[in-house]
Amino acid sequence: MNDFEFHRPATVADATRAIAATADGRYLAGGQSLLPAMKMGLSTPSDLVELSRIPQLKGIRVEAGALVVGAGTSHAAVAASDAVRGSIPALAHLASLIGDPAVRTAGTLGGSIALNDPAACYPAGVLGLGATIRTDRRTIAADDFFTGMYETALEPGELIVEVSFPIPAKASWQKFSQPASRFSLVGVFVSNGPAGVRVAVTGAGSCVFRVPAFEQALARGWAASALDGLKIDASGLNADLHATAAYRAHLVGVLAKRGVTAAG
Amino acid sequence: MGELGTIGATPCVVNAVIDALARAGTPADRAQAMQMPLVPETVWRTLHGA
Repeated sequence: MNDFEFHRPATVADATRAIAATADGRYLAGGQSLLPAMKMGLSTPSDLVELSRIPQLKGIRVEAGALVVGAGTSHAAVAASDAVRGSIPALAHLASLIGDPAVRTAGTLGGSIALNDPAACYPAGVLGLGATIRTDRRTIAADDFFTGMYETALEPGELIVEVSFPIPAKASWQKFSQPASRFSLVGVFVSNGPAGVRVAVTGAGSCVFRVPAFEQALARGWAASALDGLKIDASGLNADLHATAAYRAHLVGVLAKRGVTAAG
Repeated sequence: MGELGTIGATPCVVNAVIDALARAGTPADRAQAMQMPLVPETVWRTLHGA
């Protein structure tokens, strides 16, 4: 691991000010991806701006038909939250299946979506619920946030403060785990609510994506049978030693149907 | 003692998968040609004749 300067601000304003003054600084949230990357020499930031002491990034609340989760909230806290379980149980379920207990205790919502790993679970929940990402300077719709493999709409130094999830009438998270990493080999989040009918897929492509053909069929009739005969094109999907692109495409259809059935 | 008790488990599971595929209509020769590890995609491909 390279040498770096360490900063521990107490407010969002101090954090953004601190990172702006660095040559090549990075925010450190739960560190479940950044720290391993630094240990392997894949990431060599000049400074780390550590976010765990900022109260504004913590907490979960329900307001005006939306569930609002602070960016620094751990996966374990989301999974165990009565507010999350009571409003969007599928999101609590998603958080409960991320990684392992150590990852869930340290890892955060903001860290996960800021990294935008192509197989991460949270991007599917955020896109699949049509959430809004609030940063230190603006709000970004989920549809505009995830822009490519490990790429987001965040500007240099921009800090995610919280994520607002419209509470859906129906939602389900279906994850086919890759057993070694416990990332999603394929994961599908379906929902039906104020953000419309949504089907968001992670693990199958270079970045989380929606499936308009599935969404249109489900908008006409919310039933697994509405997806009969619909397939997604395997070209361009991920292929590795764990699964071919054709198998991932098949799983998207299977998991979407399971999700619609489970959502009721 | 060694691994005496674990040796039988693997062929038992493989036989069970072959039996299940045969009941689902997969020709016996193709089901029996599967090689470990029986990852989900291997079973899926055999089931669908790919």
